[in-house]
This record gives sequence, C-alpha cells and structure tokens, in this order.
Amino acid sequence: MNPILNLERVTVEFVRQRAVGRPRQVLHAVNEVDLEIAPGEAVGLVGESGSGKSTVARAITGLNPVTSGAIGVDGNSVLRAKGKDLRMLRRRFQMVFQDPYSSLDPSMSIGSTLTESLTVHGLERGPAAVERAADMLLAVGLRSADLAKYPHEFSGGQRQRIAIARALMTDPDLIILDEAVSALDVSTRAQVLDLLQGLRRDRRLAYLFIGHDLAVVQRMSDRIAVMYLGRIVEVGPADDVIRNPQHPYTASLLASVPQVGSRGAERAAELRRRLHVRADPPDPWNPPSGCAFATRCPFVMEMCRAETPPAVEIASEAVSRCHLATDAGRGTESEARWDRAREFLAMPSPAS
Amino acid sequence: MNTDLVGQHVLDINHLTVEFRTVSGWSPAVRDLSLTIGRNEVFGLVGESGSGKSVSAMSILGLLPRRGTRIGGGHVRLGKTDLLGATSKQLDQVRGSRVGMIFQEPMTSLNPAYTIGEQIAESVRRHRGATRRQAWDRAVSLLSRVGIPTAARNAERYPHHFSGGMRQRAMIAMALACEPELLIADEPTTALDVTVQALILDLIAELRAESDMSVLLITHDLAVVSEVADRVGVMYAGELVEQASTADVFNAPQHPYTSGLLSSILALDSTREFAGIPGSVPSVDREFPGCRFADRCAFATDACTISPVALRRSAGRIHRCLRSDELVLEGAR
Repeated sequence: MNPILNLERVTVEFVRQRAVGRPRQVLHAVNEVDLEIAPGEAVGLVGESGSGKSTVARAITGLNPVTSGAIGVDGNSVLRAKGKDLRMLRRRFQMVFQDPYSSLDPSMSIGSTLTESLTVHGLERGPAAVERAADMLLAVGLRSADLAKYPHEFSGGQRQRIAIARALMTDPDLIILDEAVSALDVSTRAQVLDLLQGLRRDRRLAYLFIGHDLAVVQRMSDRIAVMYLGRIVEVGPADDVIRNPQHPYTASLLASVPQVGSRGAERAAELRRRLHVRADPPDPWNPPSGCAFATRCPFVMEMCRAETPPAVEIASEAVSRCHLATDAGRGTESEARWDRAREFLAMPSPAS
Repeated sequence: MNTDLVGQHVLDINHLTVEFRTVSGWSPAVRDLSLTIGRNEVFGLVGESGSGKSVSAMSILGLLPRRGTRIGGGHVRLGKTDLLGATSKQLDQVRGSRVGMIFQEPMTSLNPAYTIGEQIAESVRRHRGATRRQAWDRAVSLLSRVGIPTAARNAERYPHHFSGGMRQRAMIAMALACEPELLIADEPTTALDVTVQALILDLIAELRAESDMSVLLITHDLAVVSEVADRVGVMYAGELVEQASTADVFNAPQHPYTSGLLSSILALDSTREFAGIPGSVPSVDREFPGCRFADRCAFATDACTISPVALRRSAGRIHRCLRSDELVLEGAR
C-alpha cells in the first residue's frame, strides 16, 4: 500500500542578506527530512520552537517552498503537480492551526467558511454544500444552527471544532494538526482530543500531529518523530520513544517535563541533573558543525563536534541520529553514563 | 528556605473585589479574594483563562486600565503599605523596587529601542540611585546570574537578538534588579519550550533559596505549580475555590473543580482516558444563585444551587464546597 504521505530528503532553506556586500546566509529550516505516514496512521512530530516542525507542515501544504527533495501524496508528487491535478491532491490533506482566533475569518459566517473550501476545490455548491457543512458541524459536536453564526460567538474550544470541521469538508485522508490544542484550556483540550481520536477512528484519517506536550503527542500518535534544528534525530513507535528514548535530545525533552505528585519535584531534580540540557539552542543561522545537538548534549564526545551522526536503525522502524548508537560510540564513558541515565528515566514515576 | 522568616506576611490580600464594566453594569471579575503570602514563600495561583487570576495580580499593582475597571472593595497590603489607597507615584515606587514582575510575553515588557543592559541599568538607577557605571555593572552581573552566557557582551544587544528563553531570563534579571520583596510571575513559562521552562523554574527556585524573596506564581499549568510552590490557591470564575499546601491540593483536593483540573493533567505514558471538565468558564457578567461551579459539577445537588457558598476553613485548608465532608475527590494520578 502506498503511504498516504511520503517525504524524501525534504529540505527547506531560508536565505537572508543583512546588508549589501555582506555574505548571503542560508538557514536549513528543514534538513533532508525523510518521513512516511501510512493510511490511517497518526505520526507525532515534536521538538522545540525553531526545530522546523511547523516548517515541515507548511512545506507539505505548499505554504513554504521546498528547496529540494520530494513530497508524495499516495504516490503522486505534490511538488511537480500543477493546476487541476494539484488541486485534486491538495484536497486530500488539510491543516488545522494553533490559534482558532486568527485562523477563522471574523467577517465570514461559519457556513461560508465551511463551504468556501468546497468551492475552492471545485466540489459541491449550493444546497449540497450547505448540507455537507451542516453534517460536518454535527460531526464535530456543534449544531447545524451554528452555520449562520460568526466566529466571535464561539469559545476557543468551539472555534477549534469549527476549524476541524473545515478541514473535514473535502473528505481528506490526512490532517496536519499544528499545535491544534496548545492554545486551549486544560478542560476543553480533553474534549477536542477526544473528538480528534473519534474522527480518526470513524473516518480512517491519518494525522501528522505536531505538538510540544509530549504526553499528549504520545497518546495521539502511533509513531513519534523528534526534530532538532531541522533534522529528525529520532523516530520510532510512540510508546518506545517515550519509555526508552534512543537520542539524548529526546531524553532531555522528557526530563524537562514537569512532574506532578508528592515526590515529583525530587525526581524531576534528579532527572535534570542527569539529562537536562544546559544551554540555549544554537543560532540556526550559525549551526554548530558535526551533530547540531553537541553544544547542549550532556553526553557529548569529541567525534560529535567533528562529524554529523548517521541515521542508525535501532530496531525495525526505530531510527536515531546519534554517535552513541553507532559502533564508534560503543564502550565510551559517555555511553555508560547515557545508559545509566536512561535506566533512571525508565524507572516508574514515584508519584502516587 | 530561611524558616524563621516564614509566617510574616509580605502580601496580604483581604476581601478584594475587582469589577469590570459590562453591558449589564459593573460585574465582579474577582470576588472577595483573600490570601496571604509569607516571607520567602512561593504561592501558586491557578485557574483557567477567565478565572480572575491575572486580574487579581494586575489590580494589586494598579496596572488595570482606569476605564472600564474599578476596585469594588477590599484591602491589599505589601508589608505595611496599603496598595489600593496608594497614589500612582507611590505605586511607581513600589513597582520595580519592592515588587518585581514578569509576564508571559517578555517582548511586550522590553523596549525594542534600548539594549538589554541599558534597560536593566535604568531600573537599577531609578530605584537605587546608583551611578551609571555601578548600574551597568549590576545589570551585567544580574544577566550572568540568570544564566545569560557572555553577559557583558549580551548586555549590549537588543531584545530582538534574544531568543524567547533569553528574553524571559532578561525580564527576570530586570525584575530582580532591586532585590524585590515579592516577585509576581504571571504565566512566566507558558510561551516557552519545556527545556527552557525547566531552566526558568530551576532559576526561580534557586533565587528564592538565596534570598528572602517571596513569589506569587500565576499559571494555568498545575504541573508547574506542583514543582515550585509551597501553597496553592485555585481560582474559578473570579473566586478562590480552594487553598492549601501544594501536597494537600494534589493528594486530596477538597473542591470538585480542583479535582477536575488535576484529572485533566495528562502524564507521560499514561493510559487513561482524556479527562476534562464539561462546559466552559462562565463570563464575568453571569450571575448564579448558588455555587458558581454547580452547572459543571458532577457532584452538584439542589442545595448547591440555592445560595452562594462561603469559604470554609479547617486545619489550615480553605475551600468553597458544601459537600466536601462527604466527597472523596480524586487527586493527581
């Protein structure tokens, strides 16, 4: 079966020249990223801000031009398709953004917002379009009477439901959710996550779920990919990545998650002592040579600053880009410390 | 923590009511809020958006817009100073010298036209009367203290050169410039990555340990509070609904809203269902005859909807639930 989405060595570069006569600088916002999503599969994409995860989403949807590489949807190249063919492909994947306040046009009724995407894609018009819009509102837990209302009449959670209904209008195979629940209050967030899981089950949707809350991403995803400074540094089955991370950056992210519970603070302190990154992310316009994480990695070795680590297959479907996973890293002092830190991380939380 | 100083109140909020003008007249956004913060204590004030937690903090420093808002009643004391009765000149003196503030978006509080060092030095000079040279040196040492690398060089850079995490640390350096008695941190880590959040939380804990400073930490994130706060107050729809030590709130909440918030925290590697609280926070002008949470509460009975529920106190804990004696509520899992 064709993957519904296939990224092959996708690179997105941004170029700037700060003044006439000064050298042009190139930023690799996305650096040779490979990623496949099977039909009906949910893949989580995590990483700090600036890691390039949103740029991946924007490259797929055509909001950012791709410098090199290939993006395929169900075997068809999105980058080469033009005109009608491109529109046909585009309606198979939709995007939901973080901020439900700025992603809905305040001057358009919910009905017009929803039917617009059908018109754009040359699908149903008139009463059939309105009927479909009403169905989608029901599917996301709103009422067909809401079609006549405007965005300001809804709460944040309801607006995000509307954005999801809009994404469903073209009957897509894949929805890209870019921090789709991050702006919501905790009590409404759960409702929207429940809705997304139900929709995925009922409609066999594939998700690219971009988020910074690792617990939420784990629950929503079959696989997780971790990005750092434009590269995917680790990918694997969601539970494996969380329980037994293969890349020190993933472990650092996990160690940074606040721990709830009576002894949570003690455990958090110990985790951070062993695993936490010490410095700020490097300037992406001026990335370090070798492994981009070397400047912050608690387990950094000499080879890390010299050579970019290769992608090493740890198990089937699990890949880490770290020298510790290669033959060269074996038997080093860093590896011993890394193994102990991972054991500590894997210990069950003492909370309650 | 310097234990012999704990117990002296740095901040004393007494029956504070803050009102917003709405179409239906003046509506209370903060209702009869009372809380105290002891010396060197970290107090976490928690709630969803619309709960009144930020409005409370803004009002005690006179930072709410004059049009459309007013203090409906109550007293706020910082040590011996009455803040609500203070003139704007007196408040100016308090802000920045006795109380430091950090907000969610540091960019709105930093002036893009001045270097980071100039802004911190300005604050030092204004409140401490230091010379330019002394103030600049202090700015550099503060930046270095909050973990800004090569502080002397970075002090000469502008806010837009800084990453979000560095800006937030620069804000903290500025807030600390005059060794405040109280640091008010309003969602200080909400816009930051988890890695940077961990650095900031560690920094707040260290700063508290090395001085007498007290902290009012305002956040919607219960996990953040559980790591750094000594006591927690939970606000809902303008009211304090529960207040107790952090351990008590997390292990044995006494208000169903607190329990709902705790169950909506999703832990790593948890297998349970997503849990939320049905409905949403009511708008400020909505009046309820009884408990303001009753229409979202799974445990509400008819008695809850008849008359307002007063705060109840027992064994150092405060809560606002009629049924707390009979209910056994779930804590953090």
